[in-house]
Amino acid sequence: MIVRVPENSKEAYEMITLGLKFLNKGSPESDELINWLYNPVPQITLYLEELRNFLNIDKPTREERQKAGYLLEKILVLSFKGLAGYSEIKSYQSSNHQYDLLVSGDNAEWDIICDRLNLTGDKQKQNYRGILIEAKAIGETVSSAQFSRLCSIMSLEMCNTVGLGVFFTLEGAAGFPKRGDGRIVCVKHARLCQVLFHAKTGKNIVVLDKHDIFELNESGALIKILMRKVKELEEMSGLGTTSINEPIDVDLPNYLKDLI
Amino acid sequence: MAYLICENRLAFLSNSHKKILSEHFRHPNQTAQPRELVIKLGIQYSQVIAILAVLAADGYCNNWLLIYHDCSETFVDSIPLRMGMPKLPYVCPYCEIEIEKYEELKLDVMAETQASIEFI
Repeated sequence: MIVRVPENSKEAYEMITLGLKFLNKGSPESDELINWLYNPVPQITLYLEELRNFLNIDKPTREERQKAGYLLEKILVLSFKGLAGYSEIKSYQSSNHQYDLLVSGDNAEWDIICDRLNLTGDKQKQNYRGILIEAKAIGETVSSAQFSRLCSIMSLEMCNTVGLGVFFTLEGAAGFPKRGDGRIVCVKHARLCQVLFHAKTGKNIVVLDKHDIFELNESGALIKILMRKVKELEEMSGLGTTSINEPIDVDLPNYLKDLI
Repeated sequence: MAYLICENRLAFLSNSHKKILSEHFRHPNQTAQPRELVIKLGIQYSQVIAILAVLAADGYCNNWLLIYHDCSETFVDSIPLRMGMPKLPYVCPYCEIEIEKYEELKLDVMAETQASIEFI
């Protein structure tokens, strides 16, 4: 007879998440456990609702815009707090720059995060463990100049520690394909910075917009969004990344679409 | 009889592990618990979870996360393992208390297989 002794929830969470260490990246079996890498913090739902309300305001005042900036930063911190295995989470003014969020980890769960997000770099020689995030609660897309600033920080100041850059935005970045739009094969503006920076350093910088952010209260959301964005940079499909609620990512010409 | 081809997956499994697993999943309609397999195989809990994920990905088993609360000796709820941690606040379906911290819950995993499975 088997006597069932349930596990303490923290231990169970760690042991189940670590199952991913033994599974190949991007495999169907890895998908079975991928949601365990991001467990949304309950408060995030409330802040997402506040952000939705802000976006419904026709002409926000300066004060409202500033409030939205803080709100986006709160959502940013809460979302990265939901990632498995982080042991450092910092937002500070260094002697050089203001860093909106710097997240890193030193345990086995964070190793899995690094592996799934290609933080180890192309040649697997460098062992980057940090993610640097810039929040932009502006009504326009992130410009080339703003994008280049993050590239510069990642290649000068944080060249040995940060392997992934993330823009946490409302409207995305200039030249980036948006969800629902047609295919953009022309690479320009901030998108060109992204491509050149990736080619030169092997590091990825990805851009989340409001559609991605509103999905962050779902289990597994942040890790799946980041994985799709990192993968998209290699595929260069020219399309915005699909919602995490689309289990099958389909990009086929019309005469083949019916077959799926 | 279903055959689970390990090949490039589950590289940590030796031939004797595969033999023990085939014996364990010899009969159809079985349930398995990670702790039981940890003891039988002498491997880590996380490695057993990886085995169950491969079985589920190949369509040979359904994995459940069993949720326990102090109000009952048996589990009060079960959700598919692939969904991740239960969302907070969690309302216990037995005592209907709203739970805001994971510390108040205990968890376990259960696998349900339909066919008899041989590990090769």
